[in-house]
Amino acid sequence: MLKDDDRLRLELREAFDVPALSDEARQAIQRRIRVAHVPRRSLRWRLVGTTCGVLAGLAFGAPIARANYEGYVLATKLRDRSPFTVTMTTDAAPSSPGETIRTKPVIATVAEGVCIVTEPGPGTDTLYRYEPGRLIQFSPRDGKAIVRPVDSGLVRLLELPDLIGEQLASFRLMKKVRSLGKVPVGGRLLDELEVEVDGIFDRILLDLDPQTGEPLRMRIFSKGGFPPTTFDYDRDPVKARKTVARSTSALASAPVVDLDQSRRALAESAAARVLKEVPVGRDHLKIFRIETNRRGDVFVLYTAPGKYGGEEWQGNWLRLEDGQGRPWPSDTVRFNLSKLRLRGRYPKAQVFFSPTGKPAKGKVRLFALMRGLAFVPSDAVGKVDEGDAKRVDLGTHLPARVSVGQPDWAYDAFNFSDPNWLIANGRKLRFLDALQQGNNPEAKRVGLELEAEFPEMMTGFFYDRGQLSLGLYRAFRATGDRTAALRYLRDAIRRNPGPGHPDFDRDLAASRKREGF
Amino acid sequence: MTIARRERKERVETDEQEGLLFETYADRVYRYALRRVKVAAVAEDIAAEVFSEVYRRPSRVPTEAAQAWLLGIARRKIADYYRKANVRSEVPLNEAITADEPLGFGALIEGERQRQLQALVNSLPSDQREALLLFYVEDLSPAEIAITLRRSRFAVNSLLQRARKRIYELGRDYFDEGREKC
Repeated sequence: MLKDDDRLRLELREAFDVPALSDEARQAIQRRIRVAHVPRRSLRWRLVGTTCGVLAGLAFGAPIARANYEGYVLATKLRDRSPFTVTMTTDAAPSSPGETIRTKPVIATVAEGVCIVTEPGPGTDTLYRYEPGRLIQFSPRDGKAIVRPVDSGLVRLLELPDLIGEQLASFRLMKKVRSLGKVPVGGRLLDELEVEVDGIFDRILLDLDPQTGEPLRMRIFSKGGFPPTTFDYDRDPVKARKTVARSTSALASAPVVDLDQSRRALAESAAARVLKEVPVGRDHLKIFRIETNRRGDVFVLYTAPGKYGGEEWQGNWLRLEDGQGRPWPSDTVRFNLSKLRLRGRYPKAQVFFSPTGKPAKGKVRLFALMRGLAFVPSDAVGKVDEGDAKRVDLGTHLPARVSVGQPDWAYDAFNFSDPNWLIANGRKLRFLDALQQGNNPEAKRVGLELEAEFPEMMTGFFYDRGQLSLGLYRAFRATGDRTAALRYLRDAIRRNPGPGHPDFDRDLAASRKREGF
Repeated sequence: MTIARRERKERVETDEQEGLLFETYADRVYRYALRRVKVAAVAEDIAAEVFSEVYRRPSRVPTEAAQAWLLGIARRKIADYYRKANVRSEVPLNEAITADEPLGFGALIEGERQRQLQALVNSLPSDQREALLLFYVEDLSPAEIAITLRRSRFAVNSLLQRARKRIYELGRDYFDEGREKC
């Protein structure tokens, strides 16, 4: 037997285990350190550099120093943090040797490995350059530009057309861009980027045409108090449509609908409907599907026999399949669900978890998914009999609560433009007045925007009315004001009050009394 | 030997030392950061910043306790990260949607136990938690922890003792269950 201290060490290491540093990441870090690392120069070279600068300044009227990609490196080498004049060239860039991108003298200062290059006088055109190995943004309006070395995180950005870079840069001056890889959204794989602006991280989803690599749509999800923005490219960048909040104060004053409450109510009514359909006297429920998510929650899809019969039901054993029709879980635990019984109109279930008929230990969390809605039996956990079996009383399902953490399937069905998806996954909805800016600046019109909040994901984004559909859109279209849309949702909630609501609790108590519970 | 040659020689020696430090401790620093910030990309950032610090001031690295010193810097960088970015508790989108392989029931239980232990550790006061993790997970000695946390060795011993006592008290059920398992 292990000593307590040794066991604590072992278990802590397992619980806090994280993946090791990959070779790729190691190399990326090394590259960045190398770029940031400035070799110490000897006093002699410092004197030579300073003398040359002074002489050049005397000769040409302004001190000029040739700067390579590492214009900032040159500056840092000189260990001079005061402004000095450089000519930005790319003669040290590996991919485009000798190309001059900026011949006009600019003022550069160095801070924390970033060269801040300032135009002598603001007002000139903005210049953006994206090149392999670096990212340069000149923004004379702000009086500065940033040259950043490229690490692996910037690679994706650099492959994008200039247009996106321009818009990113014009949106705000960003400090750091990192590619987070591909994410499935609405059946498409989108590029996800993270942009740091003044210490605040924004997320960007980019939809690129797989054939041409041209951008189709970009969405910026901001957390910094700025309104999120959508750019639709429609293959023609000129037609880009930008949607902005009419005023930032609208964010604070906009009415909010609590979707958790709404979803609870809908889950309750769905549960009640299914249970109602179970014929009295039948002693089986049919389990359609069981899944676990990464947190280890168990999801059970069940219904009454004869109503939604399926091939999955094979005697006492449930045959489980994955999306490709393969048996699942193939070599792990099978679920013996032979002991499902009904008592009265409420089902009583005993769920056995055993690969070989022997009991397995551990807590079981039983979820049910019905019609796309998740609800959790609030007190199923802990109702475990001593002995062989885990017994879960499905009769306790009615006072259910909605899972706050979303199951994986919710992410798979990721669809921002679908109000049903919003209702199933969002936590709050907010309606805002907004401006839609089309091609013609004169054609600005006021639209309605919808902002949704999601747990553990992003804080919000907008929809223009063209992207909404079904009930919400119909409510918008009918009246053109947000009151109708709000009324639509509020009515839905009122029709289906959830647990905690006096009406709901009273009805539930009466119903249980009638049923003899 | 001229001044320039001596400087060059010193530089070469310093570069070698810095390279060795990186090779030896990069993974530990990265994993230390990853345990705290949860996001791999941010942990990479922090590791890069820590070693940049080494390059910037190589003479400050104590050769006998380099790891503790590096983790101390990483600790402050992590604090800076949270302070500067006002980071909210969030799950990165790309990680959240990555589908895991189906878990067996044993793995579910094990995962549940690990979550319980994580919650127990997280319920400790921050200094006790830090000392406990440095001792048990990062495998530092109390003297090294003292360097990382900038405390005295006696203070670290006291922190560890209190952390142990408290975690055994709070997690009595958890550890009793574990003893049965053993």
